[in-house]
Amino acid sequence: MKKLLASLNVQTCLLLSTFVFTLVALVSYIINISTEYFQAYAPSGAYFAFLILSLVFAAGFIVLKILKENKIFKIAENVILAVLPGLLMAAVMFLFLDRIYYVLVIFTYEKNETNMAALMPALVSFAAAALASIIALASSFMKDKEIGQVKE
Amino acid sequence: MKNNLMRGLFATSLFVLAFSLVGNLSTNAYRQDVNRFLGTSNYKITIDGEVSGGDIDSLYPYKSDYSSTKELVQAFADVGERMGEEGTVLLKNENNCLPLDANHKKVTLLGTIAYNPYQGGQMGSGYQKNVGTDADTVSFVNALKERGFEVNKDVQTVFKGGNQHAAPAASLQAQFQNKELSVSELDSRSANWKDSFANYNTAIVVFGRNGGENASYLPGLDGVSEADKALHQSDPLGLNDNERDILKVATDAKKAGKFDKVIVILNTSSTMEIKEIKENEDVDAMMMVGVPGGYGFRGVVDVMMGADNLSPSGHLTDTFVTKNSLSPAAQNYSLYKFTNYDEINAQGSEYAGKLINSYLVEAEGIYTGYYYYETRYEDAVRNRNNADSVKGSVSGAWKYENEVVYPFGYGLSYTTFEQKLDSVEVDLAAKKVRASITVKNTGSYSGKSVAELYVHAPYIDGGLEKASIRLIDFGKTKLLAPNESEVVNLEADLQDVATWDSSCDNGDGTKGSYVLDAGKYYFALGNGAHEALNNVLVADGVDSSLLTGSFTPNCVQSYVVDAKDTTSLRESFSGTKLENQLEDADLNYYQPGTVTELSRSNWDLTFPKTYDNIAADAEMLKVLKGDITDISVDDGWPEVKWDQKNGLTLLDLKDVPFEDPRWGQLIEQLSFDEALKLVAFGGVVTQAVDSIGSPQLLQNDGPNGINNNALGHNVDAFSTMHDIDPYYFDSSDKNFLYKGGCMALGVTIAQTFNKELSYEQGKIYGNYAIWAHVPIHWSCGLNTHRSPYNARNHEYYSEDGVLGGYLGANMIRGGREKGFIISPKHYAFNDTELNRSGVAPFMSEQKARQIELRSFQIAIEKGEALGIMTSMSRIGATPINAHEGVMYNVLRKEWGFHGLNSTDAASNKYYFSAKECAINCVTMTTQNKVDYSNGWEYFHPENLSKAKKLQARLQEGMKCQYYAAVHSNAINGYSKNMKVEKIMTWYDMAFIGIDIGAGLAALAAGFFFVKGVLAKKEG
Repeated sequence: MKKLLASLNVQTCLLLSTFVFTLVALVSYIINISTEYFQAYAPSGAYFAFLILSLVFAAGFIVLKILKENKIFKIAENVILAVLPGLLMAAVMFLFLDRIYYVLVIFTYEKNETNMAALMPALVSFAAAALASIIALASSFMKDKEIGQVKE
Repeated sequence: MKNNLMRGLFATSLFVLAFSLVGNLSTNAYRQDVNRFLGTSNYKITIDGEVSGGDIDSLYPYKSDYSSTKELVQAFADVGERMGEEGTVLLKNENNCLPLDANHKKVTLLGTIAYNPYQGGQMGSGYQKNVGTDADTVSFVNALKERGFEVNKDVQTVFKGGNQHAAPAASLQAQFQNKELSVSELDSRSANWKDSFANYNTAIVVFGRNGGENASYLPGLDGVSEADKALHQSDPLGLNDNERDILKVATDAKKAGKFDKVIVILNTSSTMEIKEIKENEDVDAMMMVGVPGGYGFRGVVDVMMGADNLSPSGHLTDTFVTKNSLSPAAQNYSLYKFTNYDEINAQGSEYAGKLINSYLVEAEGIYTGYYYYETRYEDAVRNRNNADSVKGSVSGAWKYENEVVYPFGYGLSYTTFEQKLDSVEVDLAAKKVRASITVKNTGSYSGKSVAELYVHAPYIDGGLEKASIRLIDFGKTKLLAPNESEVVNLEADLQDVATWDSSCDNGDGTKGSYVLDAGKYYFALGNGAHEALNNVLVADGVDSSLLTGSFTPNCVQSYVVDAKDTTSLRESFSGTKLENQLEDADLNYYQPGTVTELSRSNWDLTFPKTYDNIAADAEMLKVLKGDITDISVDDGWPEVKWDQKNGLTLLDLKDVPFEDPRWGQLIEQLSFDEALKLVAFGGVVTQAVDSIGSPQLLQNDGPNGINNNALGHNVDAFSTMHDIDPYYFDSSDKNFLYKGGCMALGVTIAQTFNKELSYEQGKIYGNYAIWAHVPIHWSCGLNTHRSPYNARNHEYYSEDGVLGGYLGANMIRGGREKGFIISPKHYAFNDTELNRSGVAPFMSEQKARQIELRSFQIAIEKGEALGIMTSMSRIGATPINAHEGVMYNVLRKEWGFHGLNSTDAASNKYYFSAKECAINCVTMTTQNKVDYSNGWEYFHPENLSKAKKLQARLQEGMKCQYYAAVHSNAINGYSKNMKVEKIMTWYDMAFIGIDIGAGLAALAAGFFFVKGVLAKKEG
C-alpha cells in the first residue's frame, strides 16, 4: 500500500480511474448479456476482448508504477499510455455496433419495464467505457509528475 | 518536442483511427438505415446512348398531376382541410348554437388541449409541422384566426405552458397522467383572467386524449394515476375534476350572461366518457373531430361557421359509451403474463428469449363495439336471453339508454335529409347485395348525407352468433342544395350478410364456410346503427314504445332465405374453396373447455370473465417457440431452379399479367442467396438486384401522411437522372424540406364516411410519392378497434371492419393510380400495444374472420393492394408470420393477394423466423442490420437445399414482390438500357479520408514518440 501511495500521481490516478470504469463497463456488460432479453443473443466477443485487454493494460500500468522504476518499465508505461485510449475507443465502437440495434428496437417497439431493465446495464457499460477512453486519452498527454510522496 | 505531447498525439491518432475503423464497420452493418437517414445511395444509374423527349415521356410512366412542388403541397393541404371538414361529427347542437353567425366570432378557448391540440400521434404517426413552405400547417388557434375569429388572448396567456396528455407507455401498470390545469392554478397565474370573458361571447372547450405507438391505456382505475384518482377520474378516458372545473368555468360564465354559447370539441381517437357533457344543458354543442392533422382544423372551423353553407357530414366510427371498462372486450384488456412465464424464460430454457410473454383471451367473440351494444339492446327489447342482467351494466339491470351515449354511425347536420331505401337485390351468383337509396335534402342548408346500409340477420337461439345489426356498405352524396335529391347506389358483399360457421361440413373432408341461415333478412338505413336497428324492429312488429331512440319510415327492405345456404359463399372471389384456417387461434384448441365465448343465447352466463391465469402448456410451447418447419429433411416438393439465364429484366414484364410464365422465368434468374437476402434484409430500402434489373425500392412509414423524411430528402439519391427527371428539384426549392406527416389520422378519415375523399387522399399521396421518389408506403391502419384502450387506435379507422375496409380500399386504389403502393397494416390482430411483440391473442375463427380480418380482406379484394405489413403479435400461440393459414392460405389463396408482404421491424430473429417468413411468402423482413447471427444462422443456401417448399414459396414471394415493384413509381426513370453502378457515398469517402489521415498522423506521431522514448532510454 505504501508503495502504491508512493507511486500516486495524476497520471496514476487517471489510470486507476480508467481501470475502475473499464471494470464497471465489463461487469455491466456481463449483467446485460445475462438478462432474460439478451441471453438469446450472442455477446460481442470483440467488446469483451478489447475491454479485457484494456483492463490488463491499465492494471499493468499501475503495477509497473508500484514496482521500482526501471527503463524497460518506463517504455512499457509509455506504450500503455499511447495504446490504451485506442483500445478503449475500439471497445466503445464495438459495443455501439453490437447494441445500437437493440436500443432502437426496445425504445421503438418493445419498451416495457423488463426490457428497459435489461437494456440499462448496456447503456451503463457504454457510458463507463466511453468515460474510460476519454480519461485514458487525457492521461496520455500528462507528464509523469508525482503528486505526493510518502516518507519511508 | 516533448515526449508526453508526442505520446498524446500518437494516442489521439490511434483513438481516432479506432473510432473510424470500427465506425466504418457499423455503417456497413447499418448501411440501409444510414442511407435512409442521410438521403444517400450506393447506386448510380446511367443510360447508354441519348435520351430524346419522347423517351423521357415513356421513361416516367407515373406522372404527377402537378407541375411544381408548390401546386403539389397546396393540393395536399386542400385534401387535409377537406378531411377536417367531412371528418367532423356534430354530436349535439342545441339552441341553434351552430353554425356560428357573424356576431359570434369572438371566442374564448378553454382547456390545455385547445392550445396544444392533437394533430398527430406519438412515434410513427408523430405530427410534422411545416413552416416557411407553400402549405404551412395550422393549429386550432391559427385556423380560427385565419377565418376571422378573434381569440381571447388573456385566456390564451394563462394556459401558456400547458402540456398535452401523453398516451401511457405500453409497459406494465402504466397509468395515464392527466395534464389539464386546475382552475386554482389558472387563478394563481392571473387572478382576473375570467374578467376577459366579457369581451367574448362564445366559449369553446377542448378535451382530448392522445394516441401513440407502443402506448396503451388500462381500463378503469388501474389506468389512472393516484393524483387523478384524487380528482375523481375513474378511467383514463373519463374526465377528471380539473377538466370538469374548466367546463364549469364556461357554463357558469354562460349563466352569468358572459357567453352566449358553450361548445365542446373532442380531439381524440379513443372514445372518451362524455355522458356528463351530453347531459349538461349548459353545453350547447359538441363536436368530435378525431385527430385532424395539420390542415384539418381549417375544416373544423369551416364547419363551425357553416362556411359556404357547409353542414357537418361526419359520422361516428365508434360507439361512445358511459363506461368503457364495462364492455365485454375490456374484461380482457390488460397485460396477462403466462403463469409459467418465469419458468419459460429462465436462464438456459430453450424457450427463453423468444418473446414468449403474454396473451389475451378475446372472449367477447364477435361482440365488440356496436355489435355488442345494439345486439344486447335488441335482446333487451325482446326481453330474452338475460339481456337485462346486471353484468356489464353501469348500475342495476342493463339498459341501453344507461350504457350508450352516442351510437356507431351517428352524426348530426345543420340540415335534414330524408332517405328512402328504394330497392334491395340479393344476387347469390355474384355474391352481392345491391341497394338503391334516394336521399333528399329537406332542410334549409346545403349538405352531404351518408347512406348507411345495414343488415339484420335472423338469429336462431343457441345457433351461430350474429350481431343484430351490421353495416354492409355506405355511400355519401354530393353537396345537396335544399330540396335537391340524389340516388345513391350501393353494392355490398354478400359475405357481410352471412356468418362464418366453423362447424359447417363442406362434404370434402373440410369444415368451415360462410353460411346464410334460413329466415328473414332485413336491410335497413339509419343515422347510425341504433336507428337502423330500431327501423328493423319496427318493421318486424316490435312495439315502438319499447324502443330507445328514434326510428324512421321507408328505410327497410327484407329478403327471405328459405333453407340454410351453405354453398353460395363456399368459394372466395378468387375461386378458392373456403375452409377453417384459424382453429388454432382459439385457446380451447390447446386447452379444451377453458374459454367461454360471449353468446347472445345467455348474456348473463357467458359475459366474459377475466382470463388471467393461463399457463403455456407443452403443446402450446412448441408453437410459441416459432420453430415450426424442419428444414433438415427433404420435404418432397419439386426441385427449384435458381441462377437461370433467361435474358429477362423486370421492365420486360411491365405489362405482363401475373399469371404469365415469364414471371417465373424472371425470378429463376435470381440466385438462391440473393432471394434469401431479399427476405431477411429487405427492409427500409430493398436493394437493387442486377440479375433481374430491379431498381432500389424505398419504403416509407406514415399513417398520418408520408412520414419519415422531407419531400426532397431522397431526391438526389433516388432520382435516376437529374437533368431529365421532371420530378427532380434541389434544396433551393421552397418545399424541399416540406414534411408529409401532417395529415389526418385514421378516425378522422373514417368519420368522413366518404369513399371518394379517401380515394383522393390516396391519389394525392401518390402524387407526393412521385416527387418524393418513394414507391412503398406502410400506411392505412386497418386493424379493427377492439377496445378504445388500445392507444394505437388513432392509426386505425373504426370498430367496424366494413367501414375501414372500404375507405382503405379506396385510398389504396387512389395511390395505385399513381404507382404508389399503399400497404395496409398491421396484418393482423394488433389488438393491444401491451407486449405487442410476442403477445398471443386467442379468439374464435368467426371473430377472426368477421371482425379482425374483414377490413384487410376488403382492402385486398376491392383495393387490389400490392403491399401489406404484418403485425408484431401472434395469432393464438403462433407468431403471426409463421401462421400459414393467415399469411398464405387466407391472404394469398382466398383473397388473391399478389403483392409484397413485409413484417414490421424484426426485433428478434427467433420470433421473426426467416424460414417461416420465406415459407409464407413474407418477402420483405424489415430487418436493418445485415447479420445472420442470433437466430438466422441456418438461412444460407447450403442449409436449405432440402427445403424445397421454402424455395418454391421464396420464388412465389419474390414474384409477388417484383410484380408490385413493376407497378410502382420505382420504375420512373428506368429503361432497359440502363446500368446500375455501385458507388461510394460521401460518408464512405469521409471514413476513408479519416482512416488515411489518422493513419498518417499515427505513423508520424508514433515515429517521434518512439524516437523520444528510445532517446530517453539511451540517455
